[in-house]
Amino acid sequence: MIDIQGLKAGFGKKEILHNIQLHIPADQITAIVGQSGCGKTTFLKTLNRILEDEGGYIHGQILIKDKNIMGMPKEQLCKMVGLVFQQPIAFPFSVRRNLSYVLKYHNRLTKEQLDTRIVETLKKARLYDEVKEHMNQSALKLSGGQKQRLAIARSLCAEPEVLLLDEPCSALDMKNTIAIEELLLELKKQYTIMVVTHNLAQAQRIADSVIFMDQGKVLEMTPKEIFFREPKTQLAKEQIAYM
Amino acid sequence: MKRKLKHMLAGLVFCLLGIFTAGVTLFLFLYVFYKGRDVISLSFLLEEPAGVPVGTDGGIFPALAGSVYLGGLSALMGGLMGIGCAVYLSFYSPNGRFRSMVQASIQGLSGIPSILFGLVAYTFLIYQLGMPRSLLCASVAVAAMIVPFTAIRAKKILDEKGREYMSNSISLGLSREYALGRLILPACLAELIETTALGMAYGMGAVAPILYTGAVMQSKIPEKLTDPFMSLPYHLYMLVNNGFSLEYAYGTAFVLMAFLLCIHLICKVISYFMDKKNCNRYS
Amino acid sequence: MRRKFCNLMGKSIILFTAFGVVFLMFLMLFHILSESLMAFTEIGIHMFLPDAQWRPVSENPQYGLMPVIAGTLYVSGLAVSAALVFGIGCAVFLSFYVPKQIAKVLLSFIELAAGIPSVIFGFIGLTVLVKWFAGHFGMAAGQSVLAASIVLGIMLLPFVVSTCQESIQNARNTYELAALALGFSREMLIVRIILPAISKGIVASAMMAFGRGLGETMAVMMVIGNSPIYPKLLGRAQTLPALTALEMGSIEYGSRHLSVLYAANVILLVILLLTMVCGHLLHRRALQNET
Repeated sequence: MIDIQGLKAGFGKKEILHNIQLHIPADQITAIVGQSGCGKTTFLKTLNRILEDEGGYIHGQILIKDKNIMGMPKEQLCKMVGLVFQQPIAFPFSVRRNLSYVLKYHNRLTKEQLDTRIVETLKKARLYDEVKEHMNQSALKLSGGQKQRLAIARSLCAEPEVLLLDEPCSALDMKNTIAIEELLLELKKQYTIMVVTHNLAQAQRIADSVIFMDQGKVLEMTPKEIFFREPKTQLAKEQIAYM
Repeated sequence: MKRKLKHMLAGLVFCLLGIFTAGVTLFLFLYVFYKGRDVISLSFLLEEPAGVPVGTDGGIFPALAGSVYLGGLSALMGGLMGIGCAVYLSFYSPNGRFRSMVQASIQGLSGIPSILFGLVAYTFLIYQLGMPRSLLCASVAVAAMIVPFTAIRAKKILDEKGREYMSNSISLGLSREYALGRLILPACLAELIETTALGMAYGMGAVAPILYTGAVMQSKIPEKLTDPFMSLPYHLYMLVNNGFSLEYAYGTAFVLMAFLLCIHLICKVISYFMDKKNCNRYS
Repeated sequence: MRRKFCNLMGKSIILFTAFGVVFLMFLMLFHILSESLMAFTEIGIHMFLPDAQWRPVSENPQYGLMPVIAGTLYVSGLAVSAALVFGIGCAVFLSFYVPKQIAKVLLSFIELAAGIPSVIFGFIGLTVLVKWFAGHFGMAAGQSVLAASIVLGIMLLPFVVSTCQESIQNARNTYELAALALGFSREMLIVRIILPAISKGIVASAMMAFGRGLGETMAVMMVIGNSPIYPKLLGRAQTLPALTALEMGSIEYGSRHLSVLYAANVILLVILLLTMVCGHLLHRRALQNET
């Protein structure tokens, strides 16, 4: 699904990602783990090239579905590769408009179609039951977990094929974390999902395979079972031992 | 004991300096309002200037109207230009030569003294391009002066509020323009208008750029862009400088100051409530 | 299709404004330089001889700018020093000696004074200060460098107070608890710790205030007396922007006199640029130190 060769990225003269080679299969959850500052988030941001908008550079080859993303129009790429940020942001609209804002851009829909799409997407993101009573209220009033699911729902509105999540549960309590994890397990039937997390336990719960990064390099890329049973590197061993 | 005395002395000095400074500021406001209060009447506000020399009798209505026209026009031009630049700097081209050129231009313009805008407008627009001394000409000079004012403030607002909205929108596959039009500019609208209003107040109070580019001592309310116009600060300057009528100068100063203070106060109140609303939102 | 069109329109408007600002800056610079070219080539160094006078309309015109340049620097320097003393004192007063609520109100009052147009400052200066000087110092009209400096200093106060107050607040957050825990008194905290900590920031904001003072036109012009001679504290003098504002209206376009005025403003811009660059560098250094 995603093929990465010789990927280098960074800001100005500072290279953050060094020569990354990866293959990520479709319809799986791939967890990216590693210590803070190892380049996990930067790596996610290369996949939809939003890093360039923040002033960084990307070199190398990234193929998604055999298409080189470096030559793709950015809008098309971002539509195909949805990214959910660490801090969930609700736009200062109603819940409904948070989604219609995206839907209206990508599709021409009548009002009925729009409503059905919004309900559909909210159900998919497991948010519908909680917000169906107040679809027209400001989304800023939602709780953190709800905002995170709203952000995921918003990404689903763009009909992506790959879904990237940057520490989706870092600001959430246990209950909301479980809700998000269950949601991701369900979504992986349709989408290729990559989750950045610093929480190894979470990776063990939801991931199919694990990418272990340190200092801008990929140290391991293995199926979950192998990674947690017999990690190749010393660093990974230590961290798993601490779990 | 000696040390204690020293400390008390230091405290005293700070208090005196502080009270003096605050006192001077208060004095500025009170003085103008106290001295001007007798001249102010409805007829002073609504009549045309009269008397010989002109301005020693009658009212200042054309000056008030002229100032509003000038402020409105230059805020329209300067505000749009400044906000456009701020949008460019905040959301387009994260690095590159043109970006640094835009940035340097704004910094440079903000450092240029106001008289130079007047001087360049005077020789360039009036002599080289052959425009008449007019409202348009003066508005252009004032607009150029408030472009950096609005650009710097608008950029701060957009950076603070809009960055996250923009990166979120982009990663949803939306275009920058769509995100700006539907989300970011509406979300920052109140603050951007406030900035423009402050820029307008700044421009309306300036005399240097309009000195020879369009302001005159007596005229009707301008009907066309190419008409010369009266302006409050210019009127005040002429009254004082030529020693026509100190009494009427106080009155004019009163009106000018009250007008600008109103703009500032309205902006303060709006931003106070916006802050409150934001606090509620994010808590 | 419509969407693409809208996007394109939006983008071109934004690019247009960005281009516009760059164009405006270049136009200003180009115009100022090209108009001043004649003065630099034809009069050149004669403008800057220390004993050349400013007599542009006499039979045998002299275009000595040095007295005016000196006047500009003098007035601005004096004003900034006064504004610094009172501004820092006031900032300390507001952050240490006054209850927070009252300080907030006072501060917003002082900041409001920044919105007063310079004509009104000049007007008040003329009716209060100059009148008083004329009465008490036995001067002919009371218009003097001192009056101009005081008026200009008061104009700069809001800027100085608010920047100082901000950096005092930052320094306080860093040091106050530790210092008080060590048993420092309030005055000791201020004099020994806070003021040294913000000194770089103060120098930077002094530079910026100086730059603003250099360019101030109307207020200074109304109280300084407008005589292009070397400045004395209680005598009349002239500053570059005031000279420009005073004479530009009565000069023929294309004359040597106007060109010299432009040259004077080139000098003003150069001085401003130097000040701003210094201020900017110091400001950056100060920020680095604070964080």
